[in-house]
Amino acid sequence: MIRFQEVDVCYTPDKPILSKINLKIDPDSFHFLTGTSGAGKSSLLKMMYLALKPSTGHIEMFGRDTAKLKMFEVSNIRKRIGIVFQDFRLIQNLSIRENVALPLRIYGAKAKIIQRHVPELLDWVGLGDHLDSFPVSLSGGEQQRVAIARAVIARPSLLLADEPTGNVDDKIAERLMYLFEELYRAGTSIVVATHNKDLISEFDYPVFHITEGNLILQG
Amino acid sequence: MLKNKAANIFLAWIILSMIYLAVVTLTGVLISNSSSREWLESVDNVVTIQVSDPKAKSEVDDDSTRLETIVKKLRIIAGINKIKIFDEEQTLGLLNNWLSQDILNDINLPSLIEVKLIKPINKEQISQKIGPLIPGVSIDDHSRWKQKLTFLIDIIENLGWIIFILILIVCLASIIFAITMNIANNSEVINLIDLMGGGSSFIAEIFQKQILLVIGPAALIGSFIAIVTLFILNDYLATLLSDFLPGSISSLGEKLNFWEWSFIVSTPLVFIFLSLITVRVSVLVLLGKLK
Repeated sequence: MIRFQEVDVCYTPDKPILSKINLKIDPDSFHFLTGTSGAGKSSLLKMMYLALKPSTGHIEMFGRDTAKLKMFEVSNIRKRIGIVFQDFRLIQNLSIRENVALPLRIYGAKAKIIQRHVPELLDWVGLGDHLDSFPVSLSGGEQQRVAIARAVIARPSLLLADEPTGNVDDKIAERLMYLFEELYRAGTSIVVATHNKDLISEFDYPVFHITEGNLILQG
Repeated sequence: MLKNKAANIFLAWIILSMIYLAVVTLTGVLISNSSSREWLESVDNVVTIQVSDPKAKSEVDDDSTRLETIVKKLRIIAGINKIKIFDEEQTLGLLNNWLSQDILNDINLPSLIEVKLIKPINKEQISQKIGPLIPGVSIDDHSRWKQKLTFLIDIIENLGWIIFILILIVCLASIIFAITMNIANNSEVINLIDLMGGGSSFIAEIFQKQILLVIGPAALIGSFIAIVTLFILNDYLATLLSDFLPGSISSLGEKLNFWEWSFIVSTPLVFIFLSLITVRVSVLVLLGKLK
């Protein structure tokens, strides 16, 4: 599904933030991505959702060399990826229902399908009563769940979550992880970037650890 | 989804005003075209014969006046459809808008004969038949002033078209400006949609829908107000100009044909269509530059 070969990322010349990264993520897999703050977790995820190009090296996504993709092909690949951002990135002037429906609208889904799926999914994340609320009226944990619902509604092949539990308490964090597990069992590959060691130890999945710009696979 | 209420309200007012001006200008151009064409056609086969001292004894016929002799001769010329003799009152009627009563009293008015021809005959043909008989008769086929008037009408019409096109360009430029502002103000949302796989085309569609909601009603309302204004103005102008340009002003409904009306009514629709294309192209170009 994803293959990184000798990937370097430099924001300043001769000072790579990520160096010689080799990584392979198979379909139907669950990985954690860890590392200290500023280690390059977000940069690695950005490369996975094609928002950042590597300084050197090759990246393959869904069997395609990302360097050779045309603009519309980039969009097509992104449609297969669900992203949970660290800062949620909900659209403030859209209701929860409209926020979650956005990926389906991008897919060109019919209104009937949108009307049926969105409430179902918001029920699943425990926000069925907030369909017409706006993000500003929700707590951090609730907004995080909306962001997850939005990321998974179009049934992506790959879900990338950047510190999804960073803004919520332990109880909600655990609940979010169970949501990810459910998606994993439903056939979505998951990459969760986190520095929450307790959470990682609780779930028995392989961990990519970034240290001093290098990527190490643990477990 | 995209926030820019202030810019959209501003854009709506600009479009409303500009479409109002565009429809008024376009209608003006079409009416001017239709009226001038109609008027020029009406005088196309007409010559005016001016007979000085009409009541004096004819030089060629002892029993007739100069005017009567001319009319007799005209009646036997082939190709004449209608002869209309203007009496003194009618002649004065033509002049009293342009000259004061004192001047009119001092003028020794000639008699005017309007001759409608079946087919165009040049002035020389009639001059040859009438001129030698009665001295002091002038024949005018109006070609001199018709040529100048046609030239003037062409200038006014072309100017109207230029104004019409400039108005549309201003409208489209305003839309491009609003799009640029919208993209700058909504960069986060646009970036998010892009990361979700929305792509430039999907983002352009969002802009198109939003702009359509703004300019659609504005263009239709602007056109409606313009047409109402024109009907009100038409009544006023009909009264004002009927003395100067008799027969030149009739009701708008009669003055413009079906195609001209279709052109006017389709102006806001064509504009909306052009705007949507402009929005799409602008968004694609601006996003292309950002990537």
